[in-house]
Amino acid sequence: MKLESLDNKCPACGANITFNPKSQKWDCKYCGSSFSLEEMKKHQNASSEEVNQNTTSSNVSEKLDIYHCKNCGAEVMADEQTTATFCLYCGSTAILKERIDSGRKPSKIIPFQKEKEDAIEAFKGIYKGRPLMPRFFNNKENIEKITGVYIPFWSYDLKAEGDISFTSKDIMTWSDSNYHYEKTDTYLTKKSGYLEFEKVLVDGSSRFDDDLMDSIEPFDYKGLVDYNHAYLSGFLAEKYDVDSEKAIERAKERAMNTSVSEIESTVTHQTSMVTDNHLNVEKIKDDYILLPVFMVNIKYKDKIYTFAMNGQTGEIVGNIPLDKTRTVLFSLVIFILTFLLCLLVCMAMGGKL
Amino acid sequence: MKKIGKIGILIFLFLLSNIMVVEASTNTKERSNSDFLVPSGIEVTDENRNNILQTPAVDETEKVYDFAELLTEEEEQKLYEQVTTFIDRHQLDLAIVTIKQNNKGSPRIYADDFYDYNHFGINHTRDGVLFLIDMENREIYMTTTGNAILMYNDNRIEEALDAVYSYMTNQNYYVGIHNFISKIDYMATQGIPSGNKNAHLDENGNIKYEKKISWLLLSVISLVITGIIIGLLISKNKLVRKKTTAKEYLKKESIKITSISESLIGTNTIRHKIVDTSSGGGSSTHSGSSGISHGGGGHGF
Repeated sequence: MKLESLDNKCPACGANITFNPKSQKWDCKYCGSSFSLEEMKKHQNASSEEVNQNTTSSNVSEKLDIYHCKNCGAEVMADEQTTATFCLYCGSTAILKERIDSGRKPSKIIPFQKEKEDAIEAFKGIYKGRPLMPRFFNNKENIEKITGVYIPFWSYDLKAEGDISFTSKDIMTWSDSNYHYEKTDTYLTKKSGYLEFEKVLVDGSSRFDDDLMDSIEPFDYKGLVDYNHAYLSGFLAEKYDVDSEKAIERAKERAMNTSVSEIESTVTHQTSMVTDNHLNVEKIKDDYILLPVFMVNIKYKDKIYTFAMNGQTGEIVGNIPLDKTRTVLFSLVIFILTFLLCLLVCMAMGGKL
Repeated sequence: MKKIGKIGILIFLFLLSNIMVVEASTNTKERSNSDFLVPSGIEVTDENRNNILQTPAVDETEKVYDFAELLTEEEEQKLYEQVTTFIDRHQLDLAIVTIKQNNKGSPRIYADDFYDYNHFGINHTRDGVLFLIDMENREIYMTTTGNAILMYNDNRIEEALDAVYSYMTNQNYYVGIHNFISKIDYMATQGIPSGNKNAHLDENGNIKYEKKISWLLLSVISLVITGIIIGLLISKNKLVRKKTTAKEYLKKESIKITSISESLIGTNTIRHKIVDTSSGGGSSTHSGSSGISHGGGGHGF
């Protein structure tokens, strides 16, 4: 099926206009104009309602869809979860409105604060302090492929409430001239707790590794603004494909672990162990938010390594492969050096060979 | 002739019995400011002059010096034989001294001075042992010199004295000394204790603990350090960590934790016998007015 794509037009000259993370404004590359969110809204560029009315009822069940580029008319394919992409032919942005509007709409967004160039620079510097990394791993060709993606996240406000029992122990030791004594007092401690958590994040897209997405946390929520699709221009965007009800389990588990350890920290004995846990973690509310992430896939020895960079804080995550020859060489050099150093220290202390 | 012979035998027996009963006297030589009668290694200084003059000068071949007259002539003779056997077997000198009064005050100083300012000791390191029974302080004291310091570490000295002090309490001096010599003889057959295996004497007879570098230990340590460094470097390449807590999302002001109840449900005390781990240890040394290093220890009785 064919989808309408949505572009942000420059209010001054009508050319495609994209979001600039540096100025947090929309810059037109053709006429050099720059617009704030208010100005964009004024020109009905960023108002989603109007476009919404024009679109036909959407069916997004198919895996691959085709849309027409508004700029050059070429047919571009996009898969089910893509909500913003580029035209492969002319490079102009395409925001797929129906996709965004089907199901839940994002309520908040943290716009990109890093540019693609920042991400490239950051990846170039990744070898620093990592001598075991294959040298060509972060070469230009690989990192040029880096793309900014708005990734769907579920954010949960949670509360943990209930009773929890611990078996706790105090151990005292003392000695006289003949014996060493160890006295263990065992207590049964029952505590009641109430704790709230705000905006616990869970990756809402099955396409990205959950652990990888955990690792780019935390985001600075001060950057969180009301969602407006105008922010998507110039970037890729994804739609959630994991329901809130399913994703919440991961958030609940994290909240539970923290609640237990918080309550456990108030037990005044030396060691403690949970014996009976009646804590209950419940949802206060959930939000669907889009968060900025730079993604790059790097192929090394027939394996794909996915890296992500927090588009707000610049934090890079991903597992870097080890270069086998470098690792062996390094181990050898370190071993010889430490051996010689130890030998020198021993000899300096008066040891004899 | 027969009568004379009989009388002769009687007189002989009488004399013999007299000799056996009469307690032996010990010959001492006179030290003077012109001749201190000290071994060649000892330098006479203002500090040690009085110590030297107050130390009896004796014939170093007698080995048993019973100034306190605790032993009979026969006992002395038997001990002398036991001592010479010990010396021949272990190449360590041995002297037994008993005193009624201690003009040096401390048994340790008396024993050290007696050994140092007489010609005791084998080799230039003056290897040997002196065993003193001090009746004034009611203490037995064993001093070791040279290689005897290595042979008799603190534990062995303590063990030897512990084994015999009660004989002195019971005035069984001969048996006590006899057992002491047997004990240190047995110890010497065991060789140098493990704690002193890496020790040697320097040219002044001072004990030096040699730190021998073990290649195996060195390799293991280097391997462990290398492992830690490589492990750290590898962990630098692992940037993906699953989050299992939500501490950064916790609203601190929302926390309400109250104690419902707490009860002591059990108390349990266990005890372990303290195991003495000091066996096989080294020797501690001191040096007296002569400057010679000694090991040693005493025990009251």
